[in-house]
Amino acid sequence: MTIPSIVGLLTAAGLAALFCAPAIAEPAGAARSDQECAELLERWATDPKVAPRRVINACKDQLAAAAPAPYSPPPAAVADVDPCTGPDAAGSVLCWGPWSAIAPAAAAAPALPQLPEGVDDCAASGRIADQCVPLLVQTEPDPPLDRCTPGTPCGFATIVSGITSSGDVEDTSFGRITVAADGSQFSIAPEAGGSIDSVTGMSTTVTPRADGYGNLRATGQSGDEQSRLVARVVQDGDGDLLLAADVWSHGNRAAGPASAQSGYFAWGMATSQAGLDALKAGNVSLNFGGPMSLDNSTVAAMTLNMGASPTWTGTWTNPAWSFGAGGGISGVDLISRPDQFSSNVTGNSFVQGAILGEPGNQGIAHIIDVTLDGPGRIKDVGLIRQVPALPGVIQP
Amino acid sequence: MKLRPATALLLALLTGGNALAASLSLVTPASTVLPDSLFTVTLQMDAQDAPGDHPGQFGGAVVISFDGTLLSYQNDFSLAPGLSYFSAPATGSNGNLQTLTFGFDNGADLGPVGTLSFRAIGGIGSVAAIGLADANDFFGTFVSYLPTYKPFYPAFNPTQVQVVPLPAAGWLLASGLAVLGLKRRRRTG
Repeated sequence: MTIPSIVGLLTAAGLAALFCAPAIAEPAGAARSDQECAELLERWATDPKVAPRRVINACKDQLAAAAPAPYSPPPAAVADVDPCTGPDAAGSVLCWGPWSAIAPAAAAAPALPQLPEGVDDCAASGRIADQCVPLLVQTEPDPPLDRCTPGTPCGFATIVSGITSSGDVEDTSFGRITVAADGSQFSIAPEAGGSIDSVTGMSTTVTPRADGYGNLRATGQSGDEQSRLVARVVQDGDGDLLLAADVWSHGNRAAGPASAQSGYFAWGMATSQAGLDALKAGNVSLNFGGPMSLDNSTVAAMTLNMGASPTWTGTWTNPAWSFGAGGGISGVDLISRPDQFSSNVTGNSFVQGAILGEPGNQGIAHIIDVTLDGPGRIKDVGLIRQVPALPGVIQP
Repeated sequence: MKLRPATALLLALLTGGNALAASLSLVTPASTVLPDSLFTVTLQMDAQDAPGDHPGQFGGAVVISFDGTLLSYQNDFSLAPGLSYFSAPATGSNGNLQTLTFGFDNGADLGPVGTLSFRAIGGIGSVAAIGLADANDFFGTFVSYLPTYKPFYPAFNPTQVQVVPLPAAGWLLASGLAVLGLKRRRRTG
């Protein structure tokens, strides 16, 4: 080896030592702390030549293996977020300050809203779980009586024992009633027990009244069985009943009046699907009003807000009490929601009804079964008619 | 088992129904009539205590019954102004018992429902009862129409008349007039 070659080797070695010192001083296999790796990678980001690729990769792997779960900030201490708990609370405009101990707020503690249950339909919708947000929906309770079908006869009745059509509230039950279009027979399906079927072919008379209703009297007898309807009715051009309300009775003469059954009713032809569609498309509000049947000193007033998600509200006013209710409209059915009763309504109260007739000549048949603070339990049935949208005007 | 109207009324009372003091009554001008004379009977309704609005509208059906050997109905029932039939008057008979049945609407709180007349055909001293009852003695037929229909069970008050001879004063007057008539005849003769 010549001297110049030796000098050349030394120079090369010196240069290598000068430029590659870190690499040589810290071989790839040398252990580095996470912090060192992090610093190296930081430098590497601006100077790719700061370390060999394998060192950089080793550091990346090391830090990846040591990486914690996705960042989740620790719960902040109350004092960190509540300006009223720190040392400057007394001077904060956001805080009640020392007065809180002297003068509590006038309002009662706010009640938590009765939020409806969340319904998680993520599985049904097939969406990815971590993208799915459970939907909050208004849960509609099942109505106590069968629902009504658009375009078909639909009605409700109270049922008591005896011939007087009224009795103690606890002895009064409800049922769905169907009346023949000519009024010649009726059938009632009680909440429990067998159906109450009138005799067939009752003789009927309808005489006009001054208020637009007709006066239907239907009576029939078959052997000892006897039935009757005495009702306000609205008829179509062919004489078929469109709306009817009030008194029904059925019994057996041989068994005596005590074994008979009677009550009040509200019945009509439920609005057709086309009629419902028209109301929804029109996005209209319809007002209805009139007296109830069992206690006709009670006046009902209901408003239907039609549209994509139709709802209703109503009030029932008696000289001795009143209450309010609301709910959704499903098809022709009106069913109360527990969270929309006025505050004086307790217990398992409900209102169920159905929209009758076609746009322009409509009514609502409905029942109420509510327990009120003070008066107690109240049951009734009513047929109320559409009224002009004038505030405070209620027409029977 | 047939229930008499009074029994039905009692049952209605016991069952807590709307058995109020409303009433229907047959009213005659006098309790006695002359043989073979005509007399009128008025059917009056008092619904002031019936349920519902007052003034209101009331209606129902009644059956008026009488003995056909004592009274002859003149087929002249006349409804009071403003009232209307939901069941036109119809007569019937069962042996000597004869009936007139009809149903009416738009009755007022208090007032006449209608009038009818009879001829007294029974012998002197006979008593002719005129019965009055609800046309349906099982359910009843009476209803208060306003503001909604409410059944009610009025009391029914029948009546009766006695056929009596012309009183003695009447005979004396008639005989006196006859004597005067004979004297005038002799003078002119």
